Amino acid sequence: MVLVLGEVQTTALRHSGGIPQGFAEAALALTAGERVRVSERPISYAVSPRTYTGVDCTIEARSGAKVRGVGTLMGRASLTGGRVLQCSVVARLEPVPGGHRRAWSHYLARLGVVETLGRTDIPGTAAAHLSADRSVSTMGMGAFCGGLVGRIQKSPVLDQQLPLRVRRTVLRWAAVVNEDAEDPKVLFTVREDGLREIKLELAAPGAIDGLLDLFEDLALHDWLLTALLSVIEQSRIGVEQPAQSVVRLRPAVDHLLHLWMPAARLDEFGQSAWKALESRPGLTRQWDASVKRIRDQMAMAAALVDRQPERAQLFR
Amino acid sequence: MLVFAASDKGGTGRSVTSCNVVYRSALAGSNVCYLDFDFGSPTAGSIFQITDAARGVRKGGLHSYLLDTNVAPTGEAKRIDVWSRSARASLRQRPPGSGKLMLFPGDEDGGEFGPDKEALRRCVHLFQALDEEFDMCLIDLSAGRSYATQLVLEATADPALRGVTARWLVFHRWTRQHIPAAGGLVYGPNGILEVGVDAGHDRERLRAAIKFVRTAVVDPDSVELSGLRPAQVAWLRDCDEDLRNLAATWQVGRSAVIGTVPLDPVLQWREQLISDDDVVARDIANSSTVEAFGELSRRLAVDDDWIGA
Repeated sequence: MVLVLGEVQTTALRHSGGIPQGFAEAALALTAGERVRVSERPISYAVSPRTYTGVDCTIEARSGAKVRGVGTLMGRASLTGGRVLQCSVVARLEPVPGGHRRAWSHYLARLGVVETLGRTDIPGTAAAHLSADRSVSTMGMGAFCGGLVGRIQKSPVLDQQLPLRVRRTVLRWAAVVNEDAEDPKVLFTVREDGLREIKLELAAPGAIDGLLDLFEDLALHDWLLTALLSVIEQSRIGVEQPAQSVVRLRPAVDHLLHLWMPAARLDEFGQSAWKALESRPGLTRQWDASVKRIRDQMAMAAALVDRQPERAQLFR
Repeated sequence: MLVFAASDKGGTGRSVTSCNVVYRSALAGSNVCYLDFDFGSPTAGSIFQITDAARGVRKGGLHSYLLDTNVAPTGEAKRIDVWSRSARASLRQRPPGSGKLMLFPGDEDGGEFGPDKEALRRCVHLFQALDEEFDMCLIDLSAGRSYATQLVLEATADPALRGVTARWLVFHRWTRQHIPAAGGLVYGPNGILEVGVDAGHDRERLRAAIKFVRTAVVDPDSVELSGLRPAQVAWLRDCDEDLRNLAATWQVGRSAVIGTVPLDPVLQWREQLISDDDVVARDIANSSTVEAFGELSRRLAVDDDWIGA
């Protein structure tokens, strides 16, 4: 059994509008001399070079058993639609016999791998990673990820104006590679506090990039939906005058609605995983219903615009 | 927007006023949070009536978020949703249209600490992340010149927070001792301005971002004092006049004041949030106190009141 653990943090870029590609490249240049990869179709997308950090830490299993882990975490940042920033961190856990740490050159030759020294409870470690709350994270993944977000958000090319205020979402995932497993199984759980967990079981480990793309895409769309619902909640539909609600809905129209494009850049495996998630919990279904609600509010406000009180509010 | 609440002396009503201002802002629809940076005695939990965090939390509070050497727990600081966790029934019913109201508690076994580069880095990350989420973050600092004050001055001077509005409220009671103390905290040696300029702030802009709040003020003309003898009222008036002159000398006069909170018996006896219910239905608190909190929370967000900052 092999275990791959990861975390994705998603937030709005600190910039008043979508940023042009040149800016995106400057903001995501985490490693000197390495290129930021960009693509324009079907949605503008830029991904930073990989960056690494060394860890030597205790890894806890759900049962409370502890094992020492030594190696490196891999991180990267991406920007979708010039608007949504995601930072992602991943490590593959490999149990090794013997209890001694080796020279760092050994670990540097195996980037993105954390060796666990001793008996490792793989399902238990996956469960502990997924069940932790936001103040704790396995191997300090959260701190590394948050550090990347902070570093990009302070980039001098950004104007520091936030288009909308939403809490960063954290998606934690664990992929268990088990030769006995039949079809890939994916389980997506929405927890409170903007915390999401995904457990994936599969028979053969694909490329790690494929996994990262899948989980980042899920995290992106989950964040879009979360942000949209929060804008809708704050617009106080039904409590305020329609015109007033529409004014409060504006950030969603300006910054969110055009970004929904599930599985746009995913390989076949990713596409099938998305398909499974669309039947339950059905992200797109909820998104479509919310978008319709916003459009209906706008249509109603437009129809009422000739009435004096609404007009005064809309154009003040 | 970040709002820092400071005072030179203890017992100025800094925490209780700050909590009430945050509460009023949330009622008005803003998403707000309260950060207990009073590491020596984190008591905001008791003002919001969070039973298991009355004197800070056992682990994962702001103190350990900033200082814990083990990186595993430093993902994020612990937060408590006041709307759902307060022991007070009238708080637990979040009114429709109100914003988020979140408390970031301190640690029970906290304490003051010295300069620390890692704490500064984490502090910057914390403010940056919270600003992405909240319309207003109120940071309650301990009384006097503390390292926490220096830490937040250094953090707000960091390029990562250059686009974030930061405003300061300095609380003082309306007395002969408190007025010079408040002036000294801002303008004096090792005061906010001096430390801020050392940290990289522009002196004039920082100065414009600092305003004073007078607390427990007795108004000689108020109805409550109608029972006083004429001689007593005359004496009060003289005192008030005296204090006004003193305030002008210490540069804490009218133009630098952003709010005045009257003396309220409820706050004297128990530090708590004053709900509309306390004023209207139970008739134990004064409506002027609630108005003062509301006015302060409104003026905090009015840019015209903070020109030059």
